[in-house]
Amino acid sequence: MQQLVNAIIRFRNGLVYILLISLCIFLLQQSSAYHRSLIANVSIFFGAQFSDLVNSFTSYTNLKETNKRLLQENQILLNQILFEEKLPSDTLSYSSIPLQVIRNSIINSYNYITLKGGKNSRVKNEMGLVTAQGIVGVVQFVQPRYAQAISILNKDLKINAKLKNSNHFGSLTWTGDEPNEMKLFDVPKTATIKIGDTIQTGGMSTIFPPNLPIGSISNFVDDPSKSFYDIEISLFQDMSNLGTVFAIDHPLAEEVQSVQQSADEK
Amino acid sequence: MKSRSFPFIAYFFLLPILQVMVFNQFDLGTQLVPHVTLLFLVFYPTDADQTFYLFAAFLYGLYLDILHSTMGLQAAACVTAAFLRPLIITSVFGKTHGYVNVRLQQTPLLALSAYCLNIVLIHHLVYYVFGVSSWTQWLRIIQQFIFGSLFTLLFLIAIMFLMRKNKQ
Repeated sequence: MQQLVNAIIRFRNGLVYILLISLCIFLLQQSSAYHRSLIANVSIFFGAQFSDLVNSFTSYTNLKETNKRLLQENQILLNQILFEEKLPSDTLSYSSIPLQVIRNSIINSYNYITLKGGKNSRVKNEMGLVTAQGIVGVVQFVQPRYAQAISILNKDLKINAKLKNSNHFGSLTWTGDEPNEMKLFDVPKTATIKIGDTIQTGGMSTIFPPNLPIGSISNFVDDPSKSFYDIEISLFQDMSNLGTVFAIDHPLAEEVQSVQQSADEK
Repeated sequence: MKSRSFPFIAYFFLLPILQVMVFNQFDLGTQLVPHVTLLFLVFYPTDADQTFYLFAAFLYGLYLDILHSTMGLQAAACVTAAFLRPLIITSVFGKTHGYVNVRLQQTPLLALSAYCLNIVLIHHLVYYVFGVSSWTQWLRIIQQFIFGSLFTLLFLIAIMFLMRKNKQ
């Protein structure tokens, strides 16, 4: 017994290291989005204050880049008007809240976006975040002045998406590869697809309105042993360059959710 | 001992804030930033209790994780660098030297740089391997590890050089 105690004392640093590294791996492997959001909440409280302060200085140096992006966004919106594309707001009166991105990561498996604007700006949980180029993420945690969103470059997030040409639906997810690429699964082989086809939001939830641009097909696998395609999507939105994003407020979100909830209970 | 630990408590709290506010702005695209927060691990007294140092490194990493939303990634990298530091010291400064206290003024800059390089390599190796989003991107991970390590080392050497000049 004495020898065991002596051995533990002798190798205590190794044991402490194993204990601490296991704790780190446990934190890293937390599959529960709830636990991650809990840590994220603490992170917003501390990190967002500093990032916001820094952002208030650096935003001046990025004015040229911001102007360029605004011009591009204006051009896209102008094209939509000129070519009389039906905007999603034609059927429901969606409203949007402009929010400034103060922190954004793209290199981890579970990336998050910190936003300047929270409950005080009417931001709510599960609001979709978009730009003129495409979708960006989903608001996950809201504090009075700041909010944290799950980036679309987060392995936890699955988004309902469809093909523009044929309305076939699939599930869009990030597999952790390139930050400008995502994968669309579960699109049946009855759909006719080709490289370059546009992918849009499916609108099957209250998070994103239907028909918002996401990206275009860059590659797809037609495996004869499967009845679904594996489709690679090249995103329209450059996720490494986010300035101002818009949180979409679904006018009937609560109503739709309560209907879904009561249907699920039955 | 207590007066000696005061600057390290200040480093513990201030370096991560300095990292977020200043050094994270030196973004070389693809989110490569110099991790100057490693100065805390580098200059923590080597004659202090190693077990306590491991816990301090873990808490320091967690603090960095909270500031960067990285969920245990920095903690794992810091703890591993702290655990292997005695080995690095003996390999860089020699066994006969024992666990010398690494001092900015007394240690030659070349030896100091070699010591920093080892700490940086271990930290960045764990940081990029544990943070990997997909192994299909192994080439990108190796690139980030190499360039990230060099970038951090460059900043650490520059800071140490300036601090030495300033103290002289």
